[in-house]
Amino acid sequence: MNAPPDGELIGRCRNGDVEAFGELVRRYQQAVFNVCFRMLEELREAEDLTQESFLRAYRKLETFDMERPFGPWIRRLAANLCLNHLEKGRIPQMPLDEERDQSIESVVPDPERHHIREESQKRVRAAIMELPPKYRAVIELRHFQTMDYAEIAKTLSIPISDVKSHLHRARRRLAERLGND
Amino acid sequence: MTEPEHIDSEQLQAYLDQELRPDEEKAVALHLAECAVCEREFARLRALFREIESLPVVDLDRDLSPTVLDAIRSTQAPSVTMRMIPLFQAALAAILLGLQWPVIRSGFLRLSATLDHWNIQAWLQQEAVSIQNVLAGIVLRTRAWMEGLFTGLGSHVPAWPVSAWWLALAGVFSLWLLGNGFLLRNIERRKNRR
Repeated sequence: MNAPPDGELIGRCRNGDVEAFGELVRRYQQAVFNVCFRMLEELREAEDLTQESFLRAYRKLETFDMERPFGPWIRRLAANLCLNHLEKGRIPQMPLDEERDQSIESVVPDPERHHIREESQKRVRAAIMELPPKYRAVIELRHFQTMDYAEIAKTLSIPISDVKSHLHRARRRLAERLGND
Repeated sequence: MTEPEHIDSEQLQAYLDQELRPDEEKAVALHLAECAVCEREFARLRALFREIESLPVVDLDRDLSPTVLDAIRSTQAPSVTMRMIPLFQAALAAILLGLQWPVIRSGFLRLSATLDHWNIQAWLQQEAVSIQNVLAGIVLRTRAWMEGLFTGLGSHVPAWPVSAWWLALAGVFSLWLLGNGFLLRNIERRKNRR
């Protein structure tokens, strides 16, 4: 049996079928979790924010434009939620590299995830985590959600000039941290 | 020979992001073909972009949908208090109707008789004149009913002037408003949480 398209599931959700939303959660939880994890780095916190993103999405489902795809919408919503979360001061304490690695390894089974421990990827994650939240957000939206400047500006409610300068500064800091400058 | 002016980093990033106008893009491409310094900077930036985007996908170790659905259902289901408010209101209305039943019944009978004669205007005039008597009747009948009740319980029933009856009605109405206020506030909160 073919899986119903997102639009059909959203229509059912709007008619009160909560189970249909469960299917949407199963489809997009991985993508949303990765947005949250890249923004927050802490696994449990990323899970919490993933759940919260879906709850917000459910509450805002009436405003969702059915002409657009659901995936980018929910990932954008998650990025914004993480940014607000970080800016409210609930920034997770930066663990030492070793501690962070342990926190990933404690949850992630080794065979499937050994590549996470790749040195360069750890360095990139650590470098992104050292960025201020607003810089982290533009990096997430540009590099991982492949939004253009106008979309980022709209998502974060900031001028395009700020998007450009945030991206420029964020990348400069990343280059410094990663030794690419 | 003067060295060509180099492209600033922000412009190069916009070029990589494909955010330049076509004419700007063409100018940058031409410059990169000629300027080794900018070409090096461009290559460095491109490597950085690749490095950032090389982050692997991290697998989620459990299905979050049951938790999300539970949370949705819990916000949708009205609380016990909220469910009790309409029941309380209905009970109060039933008591009130029970108290007033003799008056209501006689009113209906008279209305019916009046309608039978199609003399609505006369009936309205009569009602307007006798409304005070009706109200007094309500008080007297209620008092008689309450006296019977409280005498049975061995309590003293204070005398009720007409104004007290109106106060009681106002109290019931306030309770009704308050109850609906709670319900509406609850509904509004749910909407806002969305």
